Amino acid sequence: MNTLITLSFVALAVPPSGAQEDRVSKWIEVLRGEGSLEEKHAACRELARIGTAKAVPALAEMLGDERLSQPARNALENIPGPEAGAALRAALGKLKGALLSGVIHSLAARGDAEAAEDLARLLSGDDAEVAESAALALGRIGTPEAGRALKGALAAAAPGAKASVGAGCLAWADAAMGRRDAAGAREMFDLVRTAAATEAQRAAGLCGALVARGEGGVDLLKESLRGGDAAAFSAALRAAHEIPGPAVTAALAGALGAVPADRQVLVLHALGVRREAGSVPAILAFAQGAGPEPVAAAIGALTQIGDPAAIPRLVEWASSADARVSKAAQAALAAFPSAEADAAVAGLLSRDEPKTRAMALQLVGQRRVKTAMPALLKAAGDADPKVRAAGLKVLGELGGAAELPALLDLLAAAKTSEDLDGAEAALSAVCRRQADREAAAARVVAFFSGAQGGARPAALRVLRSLGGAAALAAARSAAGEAALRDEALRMICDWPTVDALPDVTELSKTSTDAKLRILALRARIRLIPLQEVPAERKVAGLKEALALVERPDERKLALAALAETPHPEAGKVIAESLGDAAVRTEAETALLRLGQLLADGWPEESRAFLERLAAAAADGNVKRQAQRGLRQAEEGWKDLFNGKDLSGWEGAPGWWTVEDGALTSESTPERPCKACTYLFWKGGTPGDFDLVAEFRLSAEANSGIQIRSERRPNWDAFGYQADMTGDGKLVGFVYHHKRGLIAGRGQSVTIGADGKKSEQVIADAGELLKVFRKGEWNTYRIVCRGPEIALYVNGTLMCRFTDRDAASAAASGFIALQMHPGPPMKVQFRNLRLKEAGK
Amino acid sequence: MDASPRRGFTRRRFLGTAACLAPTLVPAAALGLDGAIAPNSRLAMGAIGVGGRGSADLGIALHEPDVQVLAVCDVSKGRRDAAKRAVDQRNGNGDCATYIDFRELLARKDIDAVILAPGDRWHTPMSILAMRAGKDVYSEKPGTMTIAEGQALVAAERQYGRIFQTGTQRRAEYNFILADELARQGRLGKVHTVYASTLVFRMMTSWLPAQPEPPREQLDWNLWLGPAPWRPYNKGYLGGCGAFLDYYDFGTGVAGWGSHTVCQCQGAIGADLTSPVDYEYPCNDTAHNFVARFAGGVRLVMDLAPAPWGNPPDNGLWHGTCGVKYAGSEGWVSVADGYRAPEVSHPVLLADHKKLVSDYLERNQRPLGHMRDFLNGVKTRRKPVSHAEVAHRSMSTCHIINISMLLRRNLKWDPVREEFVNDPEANRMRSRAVREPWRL
Repeated sequence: MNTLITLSFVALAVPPSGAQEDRVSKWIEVLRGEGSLEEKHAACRELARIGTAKAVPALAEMLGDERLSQPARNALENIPGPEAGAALRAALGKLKGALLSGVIHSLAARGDAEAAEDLARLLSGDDAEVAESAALALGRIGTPEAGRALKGALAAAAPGAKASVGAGCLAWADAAMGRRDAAGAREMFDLVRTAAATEAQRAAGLCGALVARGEGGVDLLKESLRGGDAAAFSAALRAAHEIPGPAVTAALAGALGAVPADRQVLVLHALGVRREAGSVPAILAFAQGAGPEPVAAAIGALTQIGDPAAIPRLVEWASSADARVSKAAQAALAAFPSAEADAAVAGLLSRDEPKTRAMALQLVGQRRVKTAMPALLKAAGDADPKVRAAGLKVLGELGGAAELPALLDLLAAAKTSEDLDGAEAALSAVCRRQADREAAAARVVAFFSGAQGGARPAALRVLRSLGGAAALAAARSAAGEAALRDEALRMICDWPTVDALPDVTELSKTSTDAKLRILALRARIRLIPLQEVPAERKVAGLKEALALVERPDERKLALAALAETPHPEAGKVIAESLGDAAVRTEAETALLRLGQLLADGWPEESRAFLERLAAAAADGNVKRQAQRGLRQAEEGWKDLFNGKDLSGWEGAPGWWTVEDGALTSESTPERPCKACTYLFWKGGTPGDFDLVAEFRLSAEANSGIQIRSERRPNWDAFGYQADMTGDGKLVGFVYHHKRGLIAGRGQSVTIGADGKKSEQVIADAGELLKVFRKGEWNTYRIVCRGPEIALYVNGTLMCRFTDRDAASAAASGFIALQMHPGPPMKVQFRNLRLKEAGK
Repeated sequence: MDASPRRGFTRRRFLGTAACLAPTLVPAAALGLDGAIAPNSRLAMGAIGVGGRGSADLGIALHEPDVQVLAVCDVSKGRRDAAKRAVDQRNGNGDCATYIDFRELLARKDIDAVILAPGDRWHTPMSILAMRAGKDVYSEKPGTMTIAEGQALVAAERQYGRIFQTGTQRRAEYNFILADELARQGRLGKVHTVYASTLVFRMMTSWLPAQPEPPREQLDWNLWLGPAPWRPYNKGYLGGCGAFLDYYDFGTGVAGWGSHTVCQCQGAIGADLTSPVDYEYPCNDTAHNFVARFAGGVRLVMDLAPAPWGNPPDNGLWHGTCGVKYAGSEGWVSVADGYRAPEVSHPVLLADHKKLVSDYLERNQRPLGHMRDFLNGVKTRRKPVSHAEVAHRSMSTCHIINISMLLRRNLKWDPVREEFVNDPEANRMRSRAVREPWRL
């Protein structure tokens, strides 16, 4: 436990390389030059990392300058070899006050044993700060010579200086423990605990003296626990926590009867933390005659120790008349770490007193004693209503599929409304946990068809908690029964899954009950977004639902749902409500949210919505946020292409032109393209960025956008490519010149540091392709962050690629556009915009 | 001293959000520690640095029945007076003493324990001074500025037999304990990856232009700098995020949140007293996706919070501040601030959440509430959950990641010898000289 680490950099010395010496020379020049303080601080910081003996003289010159001493010491503390220590020692005689203290501290950091003699002389100086620095340094240096100097000084020091020396003595003793010199440490700790100037140091000395003695110090421990003042008791207790072994446990247990009441609780706590079963008899004996507070503490200790021998007494205490004791014992029994405790609490289920049985049920539930299931089922039919309620509750917590029939029987047999509610709650709880919900539903459906009275609606509600096709079918059939109709229809309106969408759609249109119509409409608005269909379909559904809306409440719900449906159509529908005073704020908020959601994938539409709000929103907050959103969307983007000419780009002469305001390359039968040729952006080699580009391809075209790539001779490129073909087949793929098609549309691919590839399907490749518009303008958005590259087309995520392959990954590089050999083709790019991360 | 480094970090309302799942557990009731308290057995406390974070800590302590705060200290008069008002109101008198220089507060013999929440550069030196003065210490995170500071902190705690707790309060919050227990009790199978949220990584070394120093009564620049290297005054350093925290001399890089989240991760996999051995530089400037491996093979992955301010960051792992995620062979759990309950791979993992947490509390006799755990430690002399070595080791992990980011290379660490393997340059970054007259 007592590993003292000295930062001995001397041991880590390695011969400096030539390059390193050159850098060191450069920094020495800075130190000696006329540069700013900031530059000199920077030089010292570098020298702390790489400095060699060569830098020591220049650094030593700075030790007397209060703006530069600390940075110089920072370097000197870290430079290997004897020179730095010698320079610091040489400064001892030249400096005073804080600067001297600093140098002393640096010698301590270096563990400079040769400084001990000089430091010893400084112990008796007039400057208390310097004396304390010297004492602490001697302590940390930790040599026998340093120890002798400290001991001598403690005896001789004037009262004012004694505290400084004491701090050094403690540091020395601690260092001795680190060297496993327990005898030396003990001697020094003993000196401190008896002769130090402050109570804090004497207490620290006692704590150390006990730890140094280990199990051999039990007499001193006992004495300090029993007779010591508050500080000594405290130190002894701290030490006891640090010394393992039965002797100390016995000493603590023996002290229980011999210390004042306020200390008993703390000793008990210490015994608990030790977790040694040997103390259990003593604790139990002590608790025999003790008051509620120590008994509660004893219970805590026994729980931590976890020895089953304590269980019978815990059981007894659990029914104690004293609330504090019974509460502690029940908590202990709930948490007690042994199987015996399971049996003990289960055993209580057969006790005569209903109160005890109810308590036992609670404990069985808390301990999750599944073996007590037969007793639990019995308790659920107990004569006492409270026991029955507790039994049903625990059955709900612990029951599994095997208990379903019994629980259904209990539901059928329930006579009071409490029993009915209890059984229903237990059933629902068990059903919710079933992995095979269909099987559970089948059982409950079977029960439901034959059930009578109150059990029937209860079973229906259980089915609602199960969900699924069979349950919904039961609810539908119940809707046809007059007695259950209301309950069933409300349940369908409350159905958690989209299965009920056809039902609520129909109800919202046709029900003659106005209230039910509203419920159904609300359900419809809730369920539409849960469907797994394209966003347009959700928008269409919500639009239909909106047509039926009569009250602002439902209109608000629909607006909220539209706001989370990332498709521009949703914005158009929302906008229709902007003029409705009753929901204007909600409509504006919804459009704002949608505008923010669309910012990545549909930047143009997003901007249109936000601009509308920024200009005309009635709500000031919405207006401000829309303005902010517009600013954010525009900030940091730069246009890579001016729309007019090839400024900023370079490629093979004759292959790239500007046509229709787009960068264009075209091959013809007369002028075929024979080898890949790339158009490079000249503005940099970005690493983490968003790149947006619109592209249009002829049917036969094959092209791509290079990112983080290398330039090769003859307008060639090498690296990652956001791939594209006119037929769409390779749209949304990451291609790499060495590794080929490394991530496909709909995939999330990771290549590990070892080059191993793992793939995951995140979407259907065919479905994704539907966002691509053949022969028209499409938008690529390429997002690069660290090892991750993500491709979006027209706002839809195509694939993700994480590259940790040490051999091939690139963190930054050129952006370029590809012209591919093959049949005649035409590729065009426009609106190329780049936003570098963190800029 | 700047006492409110965390202005941007305090989205959590302490008394409002914790433990939504089951707030009524018995907090180690059997201890007999927090029950009826005679006024004369109250713990006498002082608070140093009572800005945003420090006043929050003070507020928590003032809610504890067995605490009596006697004194507060801050270089700012406004904060000092506000803290005194809060203390006096609780004590029903006007006796709370105020100090500008923390050494005067530490010199008081009648104070048992102190809450320290000055700027990061002060945490270790001030904690050590307090322990040398015989005080038990609740010190805010990040606990240390360097690996060597952490070693000195551990040594001081040991040498003086004091109780020390670093302010990683999630170690005593319901949801985080629950997540940790799911990992520790094997409910996730064999845990293979733990994810820790981190904030913007910046360790700038440049200086801002010199500005005239304010009058000493308003702000003592030399005392503000304290143990950190000297540099000229500029008001741009004052405040936390976006100010001093972004500087190498004053901040701790990934430890801004890593001091919390790495500490949680290490606790969840039983690695409180060690650090990972392999560190893989992620080839970026943000430390996002930094991967470190523990000797047992568990991976620690740092995850950059994409938008820490305003809306809770949602990065696919969690949505909220200071998130962690533990993934094992049989499931995962993730949790961040403000959750009603942790998120899990299978709902069944939460079925007996209350039992998992209450068993943890009973079995270990720990309370909910980090300050309460500290106060119990003050009384029982048992180390609190986030004692000095827990602070030191989780901070070491953060410091090593910072060093890897600064050196832009992979590193290997020997957690027993506390040395980098075959990398003298990295080894020389384990410590930095403390500016005189301060020392460790």
